[in-house]
Amino acid sequence: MTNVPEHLRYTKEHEWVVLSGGIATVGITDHAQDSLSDVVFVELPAVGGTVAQFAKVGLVESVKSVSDLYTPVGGEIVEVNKALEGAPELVNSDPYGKGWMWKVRPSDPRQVEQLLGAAAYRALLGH
Amino acid sequence: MAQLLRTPLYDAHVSAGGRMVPFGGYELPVQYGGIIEEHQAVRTAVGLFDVSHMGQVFLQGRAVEALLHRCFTNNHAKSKVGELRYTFLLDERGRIKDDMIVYRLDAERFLTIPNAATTPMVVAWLQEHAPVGATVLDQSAAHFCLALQGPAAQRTLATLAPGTDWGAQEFFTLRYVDLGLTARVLVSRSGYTGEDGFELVGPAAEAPLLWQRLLQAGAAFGIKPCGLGARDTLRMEKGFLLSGQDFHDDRTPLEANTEFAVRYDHDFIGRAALEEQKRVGGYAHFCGLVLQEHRGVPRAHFPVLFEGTQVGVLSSGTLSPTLGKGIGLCYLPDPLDRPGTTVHVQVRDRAVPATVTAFPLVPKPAPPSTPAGTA
Repeated sequence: MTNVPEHLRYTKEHEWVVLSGGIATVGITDHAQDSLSDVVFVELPAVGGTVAQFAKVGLVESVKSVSDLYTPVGGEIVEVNKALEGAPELVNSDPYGKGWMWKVRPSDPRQVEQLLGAAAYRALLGH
Repeated sequence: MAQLLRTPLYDAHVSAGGRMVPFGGYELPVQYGGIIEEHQAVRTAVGLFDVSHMGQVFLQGRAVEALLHRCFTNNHAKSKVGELRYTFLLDERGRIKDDMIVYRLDAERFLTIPNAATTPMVVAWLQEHAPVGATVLDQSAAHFCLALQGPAAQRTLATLAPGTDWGAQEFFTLRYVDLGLTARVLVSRSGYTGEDGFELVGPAAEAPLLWQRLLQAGAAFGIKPCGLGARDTLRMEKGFLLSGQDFHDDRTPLEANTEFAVRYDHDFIGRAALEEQKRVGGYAHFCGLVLQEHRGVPRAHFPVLFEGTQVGVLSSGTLSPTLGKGIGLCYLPDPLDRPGTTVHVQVRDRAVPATVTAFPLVPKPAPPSTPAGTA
C-alpha cells in the first residue's frame, strides 16, 4: 500500500498538489512513482509560461515507459525542480518532497479545492 | 487474442512481486524490483532469468545433418558433441526469420532453442524441410530454461554443486550435471547479457525447485531474480539482436553484422541471396548509437537523421543503466555506419545528437577471476 499524505490534494492522473503562500507545488504520487519504477528522465514546463488547468505540461520516463504530466492547477509556472535534471530518481525516493516537479501561481486558487482529497484518492487506488 | 501461456515458474514470479506482462505469447515478469537494480546485479554480481518461454526443439536421426545444412547458416555438422553454435534460419531471399543456438547433444541428436514467438514457425519450417531419416520434435512445454548470468554465476553454481569444476567448462559448450533433481540438467556456458554465465535446461516440473536452490546458492553473492526489462537493457548494451524487433523477415545476416554465423560451405536456404547481396554491396549495417545529451529515452521506431534528412529508424532503444545515457540500435547506410559519425535521433520534438559506436556499447567485463582455494 502506497503513501497518501492527508494534507495534499490529488488528481485521477496521480499528481498531487499543495497550496502554500499563494503558490501551488505539484508532483506525482507515491503510487505513480511505484508504478513507473526507475524514473530516468523528467521533462518540465518552461518557467514564466501560463498553463490551463489539466493541460499537458511535461512527461516522465522510466526505462520501459513514457507518461504525460498534467497540471492540476492552471496559472503561471513560477519555478520547476531543476534537481530532477541530474537526479530524476528523486521522484522515486521522495515523491512528496525532493521529487516535487513544478510550482504554479494559480489563476484561480479554488481549483485546488475541487481536486480529490486524500480519502477520495485512497478510494481511487482501492486502498 | 489467444490465451497467454505460463511458464512453470509463473507462481514463483507472482509471489516474488514480479510484474507480469505479455511477451511472445507468454505471461512473464518484466521486473521484480527495479530494472536498473536487476541490470546492475548482472553486471556486478549475478542474476537469474526464467527463459522457459523459449523453445526446445530436438532434431535427430541419421539424416539430421542434411536438415541442419538446408535450414541453418552455420555449419552444425562441424560442431563437436557438446558444442553450441549461433545460427540463422533464413528465407529464400536471405532474410532472417529467426536466430537461435543449436546444441550438438550427440552424433545424430541436436537441440535448438528458438525464440518464443517464432517457435511454432521454426518447428513447421523444419518439419517441412526434414528429409527422410530426420525428425523434428517440439518439446518446448516439457522443459524449463533458466539463465544464470553475471561475474558470480560460476561461484553460485559452485555453491550449489561444489563437486563440479565449473571454471573448466568452456564458453559455448554443454554438459549434463547433477543438480539434485530427478534428472541431470543440461548446462551450457552461454547467455544473452555479455557477462559470464550459464543456461540450464531440464524438466518443466522441477523448475520451481531449481529456481529456489539457485536463489539460495546465490544469496551470498547478491543474486537477484531478473525480468525481461533487464534482459532487454543488458542485450542492447552489447548490441545483441532481438528477434521480432531488430529483424522480422526483413534483414539479412550481412546487414545485421553477424556473418560470423554464416558458413558458405553448405547449401542453406538463402545462400544465393546472401552471395548476391555481398557481390552487389551497398547495404545498410546494424549499428549502435550513444546519445550525446540526456534529453529523454530513445525508443524503437524513433527516426534517425543525418544533416536533417531521415536515414533510418531505431529498431531498439533504451537508457543504458551502465552508461547513464540513451542508446539505440539501428541500420544505417554506408558511410554513416562508421564509428564516430554524429547522427541525430528524433526524440519527440527534439533532434538529439548521437555518436555511432562500435559494439559493445559498454566496456567488456574483466575476465572471470579464478576461484581461489579450491583445495
